[in-house]
Amino acid sequence: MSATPPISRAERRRRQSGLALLTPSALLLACLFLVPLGLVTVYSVMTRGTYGGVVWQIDFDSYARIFGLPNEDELRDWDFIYYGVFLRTAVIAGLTALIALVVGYPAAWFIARAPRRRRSALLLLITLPFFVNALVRIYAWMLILRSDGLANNILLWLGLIKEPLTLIYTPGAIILSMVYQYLPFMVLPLYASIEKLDPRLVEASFDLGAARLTTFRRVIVPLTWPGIAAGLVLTFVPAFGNFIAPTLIGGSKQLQVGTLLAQAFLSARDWPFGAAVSTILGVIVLVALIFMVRSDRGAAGKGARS
Amino acid sequence: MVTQPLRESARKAVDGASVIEIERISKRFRSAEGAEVTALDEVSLKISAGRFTTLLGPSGCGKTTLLRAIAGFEDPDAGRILLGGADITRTPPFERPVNTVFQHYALFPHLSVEENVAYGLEVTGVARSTIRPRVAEALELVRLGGLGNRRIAQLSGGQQQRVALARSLVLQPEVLLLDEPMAALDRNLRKEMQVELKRLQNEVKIAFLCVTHDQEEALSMSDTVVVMNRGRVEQIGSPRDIYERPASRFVAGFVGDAALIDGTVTGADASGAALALADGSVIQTRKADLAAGSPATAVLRPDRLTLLADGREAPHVLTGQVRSAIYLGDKIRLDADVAGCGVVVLCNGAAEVPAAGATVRLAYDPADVQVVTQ
Ligand SMILES: Nc1ncnc2c1ncn2[C@@H]1O[C@H](COP(=O)(O)OP(=O)(O)O)[C@@H](O)[C@H]1O
Ligand SMILES: [Mg+2]
Repeated sequence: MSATPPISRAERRRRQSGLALLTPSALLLACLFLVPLGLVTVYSVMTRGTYGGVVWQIDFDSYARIFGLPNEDELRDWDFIYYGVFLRTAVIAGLTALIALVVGYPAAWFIARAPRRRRSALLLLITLPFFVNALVRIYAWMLILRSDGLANNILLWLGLIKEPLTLIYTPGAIILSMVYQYLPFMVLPLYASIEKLDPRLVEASFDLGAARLTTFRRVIVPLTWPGIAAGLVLTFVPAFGNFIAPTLIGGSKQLQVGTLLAQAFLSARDWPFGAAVSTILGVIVLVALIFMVRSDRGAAGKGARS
Repeated sequence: MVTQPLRESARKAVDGASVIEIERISKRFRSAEGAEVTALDEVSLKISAGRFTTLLGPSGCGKTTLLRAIAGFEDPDAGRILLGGADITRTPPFERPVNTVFQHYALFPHLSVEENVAYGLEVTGVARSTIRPRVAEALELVRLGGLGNRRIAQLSGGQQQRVALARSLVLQPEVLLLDEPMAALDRNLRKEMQVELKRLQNEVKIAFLCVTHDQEEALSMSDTVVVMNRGRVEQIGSPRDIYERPASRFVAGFVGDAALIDGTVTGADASGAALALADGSVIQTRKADLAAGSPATAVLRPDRLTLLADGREAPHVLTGQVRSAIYLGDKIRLDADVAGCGVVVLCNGAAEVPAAGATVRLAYDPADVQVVTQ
């Protein structure tokens, strides 16, 4: 790699004024994001208050519970239940992100390659679900997936099934509703990347003898990687923390991180425990973001050498 | 597998035999407004092995479309493309032994110079051990040895063009297609690269098909020039043929400056003919086999007309009015009106510069008068 060139004075001034422009959003972020985050982290190491809230006395027992350590005072033995909760949530969120990628990529490609004047209309269509309240959308899915819902009725009417299928209250249903919900978060960054991809580079790859799949793997994926990584993170992260879909579509049959959180704060009134779950969730989000930044730099720097 | 040196690559076709034959291909586009555009109109063409062929024509005449049809990026509406006798009209681009240097090079920005050049070898399954030496050789050939690790963004326009050449040449294509390779370069570099391109072609002996709208470039680089206009081939020939024996009024006017004087054929016989001009005067030509009574255009190159001083006589003279005269030092460029047609004359700088509006007499040799009838 080449050495970093010395920074000129003009360049330094340009960067400084760039920083100045960042100040308002940095302040906003600090007030609305960092302060609550700090508060949550502090709460997570305090003692639980009887009716919610915390008693200001340091206690790491919430983390001990999550990590499954025994506690004699509370008559608690080794218990690894929360590992399962995080793992299951990660698998469901991961599948959501991957399916959204597989579904979203062709859609984003189609929009990016459509005639310019039709593109904004198509993008508007993609964001259309956002115009409907999230709860309303979830109830719509419930109506579709119920045992006497639309999907089963159509399948029965077509004669494909004899008995109604169990569609709702399954992990598949949760994933389906979340893919639907987060698809725009996948399509929009993909669209931005694909639109920037010079179609002549695809032609150049064909010209040099690479068939379609090779061209996709070696030219299209590396050059649209920023969009792919952003889309994956933007769908994985909210899917991980989602509690509406697991509760209403999943029927809370199996605990997920989102439901765990909601329960801790709302019904169990165990704020330190909820705060500890949030903090771990925050760490996972951070890791996902680092993955995005890292892989982006990797794709831009080294190319797809596989 | 043994590395085949690029310089001595054993080409499959014998020098001069045709590698690609294009048979009456046509292509229409529907423009954004819905109007039909005929980009190619029954174009037929043969490309000879080991030769430098140029497609010359004004912007929009279908040059790029023809190149893209050969590369496999446009499906012709009619006609066939044969490569070594085999029909490749419907073969996808990645299966054609033809490579392209794109107009803006289309280098992969995420790969280094070396990786760009290695790309075609890697994806076509060339043995790994031979890739490195072949890439190094190709970079050496375009005089980029030592820059293999650079990123594309760190290269100048001229260097990018060399990478594009190396990336295509390393695959030893039957034909190398180049779409306006000089268009993105500045003037000085362009001259240099013309020489360079010709040297490369001599060295690798691969057939080059190069698109340009610059007639000087076409004449200086090519073995064969194909002049196109409005989706049709106007003339195919050596640079000398094209310049000295234009087949049509369009070719005569497009390739180099020329006086185009319209008239009607009179008194044609085996030794030549005369053209009656609009002002009643006559121009003689040695061109035979013209049909008397048909319209025709006399073509005279600017350096083949001489300004006659007062009192001097010549056997063949045209009379015209000066529109403008420009003193160029060693020459005088005269724009004159002869029988209603614009005529450019380059005459000796020692002569007196005539005033605008003055009547001048221009001497010519009937042997220099070409005639086009379409
Ligand atoms: N994809 C296309 N869609 C519509 N019209 C096109 C397309 N490609 C080329 N044309 C039209 O076909 C004609 C020939 O274009 P082109 O081959 O690019 O010309 P050249 O390369 O000689 O300048 C032009 O009139 C151009 O507008
Ligand atoms: Mg063109």
